[in-house]
Amino acid sequence: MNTVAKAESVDQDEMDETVCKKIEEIIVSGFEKYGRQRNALMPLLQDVNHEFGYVPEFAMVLLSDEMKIPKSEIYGVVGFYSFFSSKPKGKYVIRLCRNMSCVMSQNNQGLSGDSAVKKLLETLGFVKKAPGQTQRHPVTEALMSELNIDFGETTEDGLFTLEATNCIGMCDQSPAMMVNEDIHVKLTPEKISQIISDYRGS
Amino acid sequence: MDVYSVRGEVGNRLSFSDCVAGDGLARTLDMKAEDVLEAVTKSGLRGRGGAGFPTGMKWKFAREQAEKQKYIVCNADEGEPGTFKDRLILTDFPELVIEGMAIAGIIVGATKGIIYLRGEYAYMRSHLENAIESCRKKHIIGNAINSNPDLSFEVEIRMGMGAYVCGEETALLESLEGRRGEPRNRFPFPVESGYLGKPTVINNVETFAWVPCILSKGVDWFSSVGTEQSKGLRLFSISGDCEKPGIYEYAFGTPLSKLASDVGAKKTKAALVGGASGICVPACEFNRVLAFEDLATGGSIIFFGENQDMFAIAENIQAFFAEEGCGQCTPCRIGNVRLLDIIEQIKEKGMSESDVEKIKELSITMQTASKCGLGQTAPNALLSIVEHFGDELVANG
Repeated sequence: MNTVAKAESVDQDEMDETVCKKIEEIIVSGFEKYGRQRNALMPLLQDVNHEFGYVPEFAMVLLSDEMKIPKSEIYGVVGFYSFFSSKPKGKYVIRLCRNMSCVMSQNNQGLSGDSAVKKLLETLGFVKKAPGQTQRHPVTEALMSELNIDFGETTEDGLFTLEATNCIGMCDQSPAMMVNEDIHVKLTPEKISQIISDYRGS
Repeated sequence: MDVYSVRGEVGNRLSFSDCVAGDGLARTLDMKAEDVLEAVTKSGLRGRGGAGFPTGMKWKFAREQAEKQKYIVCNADEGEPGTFKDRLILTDFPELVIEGMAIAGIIVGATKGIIYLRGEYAYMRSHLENAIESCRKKHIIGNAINSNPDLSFEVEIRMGMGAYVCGEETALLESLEGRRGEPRNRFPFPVESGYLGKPTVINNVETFAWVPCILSKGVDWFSSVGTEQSKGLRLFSISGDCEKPGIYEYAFGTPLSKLASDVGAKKTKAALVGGASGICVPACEFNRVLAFEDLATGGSIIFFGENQDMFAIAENIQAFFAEEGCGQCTPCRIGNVRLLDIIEQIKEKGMSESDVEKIKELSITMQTASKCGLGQTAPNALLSIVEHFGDELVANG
């Protein structure tokens, strides 16, 4: 690969030249590590996603041109996996587990209800938004108030994106969440404040 | 991140602690490949991911394939809600897993292994890379296994990206090949045509870890415990309303009541056996046993205390499937969303006879017509909750 000129269908105005250059570097070195066959696509996309927190369209078009894979298929792969994103996210993506053991352990901290699940279902459009204030779990509440955002949103300073996710395999140490690749377990509202301020400081 | 900071508690002694990496492989190299296969088959080892396919038979099919290039894939994509025992195995005993893959490679004639690690476990990637390196130094893998220049086996790690369905073996293969994780049709099975169309053995993390133990400690050691159709020991991931959640080892055939008492599950209403795709067992049936003959499971047990709303559990599970289905086949794609709709309606208005009929009818369609195990098992938990806790739902009305 000598040129990025082929990827002209991308709106260049939106892409910083240095970003394009960086993408090109990642993909060139990815080709050396993983090859150019179709089975190299996941690691290539993972490297890009890891660097930027999402897969810019420029990268998808470039991979399509270089690997001779239809663009629609590359978009399809990025769209399929919940840890890929086609849109920029916060520097730290927080994923709070919303499955049974984690939700129950939040229940046992004193509140009933199922608001992490509710929030997710609302976001996905499966249920109507509940009118008025819904009762939230202490950990969910702490995250939302600490960051001052709702699930699916990113803080104004671009530092944090808050999401609900499915089982992260920490049921015995629930409630649990991921922050990028790090795992945080046995969460309490106090711990949430500490964790968020640690990431703000780093 | 320190992998041991989230290692979790181990509730009783694990047999893996008594197995030294390399011993099983050393035994393997003293024997003919046919005899090693015979030992794995005779041990009665069945897949620990949940489906329970006999491991020896799977390896035999792969061994019989004429293709030169074959693959060994370790399914480290445990995404079933409530399952975390592979996390412990990969943290404490990664070398046994890698050794099991190498032994599989020797038996079926494969020189390449891939660990498909779920994206949620990215924090242990470098830990596993160190384990691979350590196995290479010990000549468990590498160019010359145990200094035999004719034997080689290499292992690489590939990452998942947060898709539950990729724990389904053919969806996992699609993901490895750079595609959406949409399950394939069988036939052919992966042992005939798997990764890149080549014969491929896919086993769960725990399945691989048992193999070197069986070979070093003997077939009888393994098969002397368990039941007629479910030999040996297995790990359980136990969580929910209990005092000591964690990872426990039991022989197949152990009653659920024993687990409940060991973990300190008190005032228990029910247990979800097998995660979101499993079934809800009421406390009055805790004399039932954990084995393929009765309660088959990938090892996930979640206890529910008497204050838990079983309907909220059902909703949580159906929302999980509505989100995690790959969207490829209609019964699963539409079915899970419709079941969730029905649950929402029942929550508002209470459950009527016709709701029960609708749930049953739709569930049969999904169980029968869905393409893969995800859709086929998605209604199971709801059905068991309606059966055993239906009166709670009617009372809502």
